[in-house]
Amino acid sequence: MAALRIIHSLVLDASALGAASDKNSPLRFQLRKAAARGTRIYTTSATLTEVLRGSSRDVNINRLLTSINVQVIDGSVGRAAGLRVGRTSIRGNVTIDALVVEVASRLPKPVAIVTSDFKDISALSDPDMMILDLSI
Amino acid sequence: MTPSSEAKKSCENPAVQPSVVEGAFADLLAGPFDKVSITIPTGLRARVAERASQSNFSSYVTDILAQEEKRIALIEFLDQLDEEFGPPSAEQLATADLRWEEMWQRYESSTALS
Repeated sequence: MAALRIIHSLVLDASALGAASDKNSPLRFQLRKAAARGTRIYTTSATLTEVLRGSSRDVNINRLLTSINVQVIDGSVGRAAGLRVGRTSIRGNVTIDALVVEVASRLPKPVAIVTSDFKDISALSDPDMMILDLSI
Repeated sequence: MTPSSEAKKSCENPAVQPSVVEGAFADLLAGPFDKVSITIPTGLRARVAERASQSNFSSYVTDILAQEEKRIALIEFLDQLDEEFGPPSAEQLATADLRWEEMWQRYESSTALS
């Protein structure tokens, strides 16, 4: 018998927060299924800095934020995320990506990160994390 | 639940430590706090007491209630998007399922190798 494919924690990065209310993205249908299965949805406080600009585009993101968990970045998470970047050979600024992955690593498993930046997120993530690729 | 069973009194220090400390629910979780008397089956109370032994019953129940409120809010948000955009097409739903399946297959093949 196939194992039940239940995800406990689903973490949205900046691209996912935007895609959730995109007419053509499949993410809103996946979020509906996740909600029906009791999956807890998260993002990070650092991610808000990436997406919120005080424009009309914020409206749907703010509506979404009322229904998900926003995990605060503290010193422990920041330190561990930095070490996470150091263990990779990634060039360029992946600070927020690393914070997202570090937050995900501390949530109940199974955990999945939703992103359109599959390459960097997968380089930063642990083997027991899943990644839902929005870029395909 | 009757009004009398909902009798509440102010609670200064409930030791509630919700898992979520940021976001739209922050104000709701910050207090002030009420003490509420509820009636639940003894067996369920005993089972929850085992699970919540390391924190306390109030924080456990608060977390469950907050998560359920968020889950309902998320479904309402998605319902509003469906009203705005129209119901999803069969192709959109198939794509969503396919991406989800691909994620699981990638994960299962990588964990099988490790």
